[in-house]
Amino acid sequence: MKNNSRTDFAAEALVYLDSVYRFALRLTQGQVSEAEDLVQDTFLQAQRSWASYEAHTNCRAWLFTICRNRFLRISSRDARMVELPDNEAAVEALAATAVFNEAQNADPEQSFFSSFLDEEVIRALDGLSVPFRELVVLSDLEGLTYAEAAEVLGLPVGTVKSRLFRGRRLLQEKLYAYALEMGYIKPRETNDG
Amino acid sequence: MDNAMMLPCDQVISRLWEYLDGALNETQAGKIREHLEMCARCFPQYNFERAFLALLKRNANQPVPAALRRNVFEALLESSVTETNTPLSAKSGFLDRLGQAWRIFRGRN
Repeated sequence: MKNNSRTDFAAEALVYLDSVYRFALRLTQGQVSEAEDLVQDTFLQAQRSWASYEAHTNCRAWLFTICRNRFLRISSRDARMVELPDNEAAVEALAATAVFNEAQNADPEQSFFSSFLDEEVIRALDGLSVPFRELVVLSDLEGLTYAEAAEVLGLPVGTVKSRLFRGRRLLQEKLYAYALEMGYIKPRETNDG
Repeated sequence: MDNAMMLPCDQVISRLWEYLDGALNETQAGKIREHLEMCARCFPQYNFERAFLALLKRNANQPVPAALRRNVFEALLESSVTETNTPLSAKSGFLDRLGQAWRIFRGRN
């Protein structure tokens, strides 16, 4: 059922202002001014397109889609920009247990993740390329299901899952490298010499 | 894991994210849960991945700045007022709702 009335826009769409802002902030890698423009554009576009929104379906996913499309357009990026860079695609071969094993060896007390400040996590997240970053944000910060994220990004659910899992591994790698650099954990001792 | 009735470790590890994301059906999730309760090798990795997701979730509460909230409300109001193709009845209903939302927001700030 199409929603031809505009009276529910405030009740159904504006409640997601915080979510859309957080998504925009990560898309723009923390550029506050750019994110704020993006949020405003998103809601103005959503208001104009409100008649095409299917009432009481998934308004948040619909807003994320608009926000992402605006981001790609405003930033003069096209679909190729959200394809996987070659070097990051290679991480597919990363064993599921690699980061865990490294961290376990370096941090037997398993307090690895408790060392990080929020801004350090955000900086590492912003260091991911768009295809991974947007999925980690949608899934792990905003709590979208695989199917909802697939709807936002226009991807098959299987692609969403594999890309999300690779994004998480990449983020863990970045956090692990940062923890070593900052001395939060000590490098694993080797028996090479 | 030695128990032949249990899932092998590699299958559990490969489905750990889906388990943590709540994306498995009850039967599948039950098998993973059963394995994790018994396996000294997989359980630490489960804990590790769970802590990682909790760390990310901790960053999910950043609210929109009050000034941006105000700007968005005002831009929507202005856009609605200046739009010429909207029937008056629909427009006034929309403005009523937006005005209500705006008053609630101002009351909170």
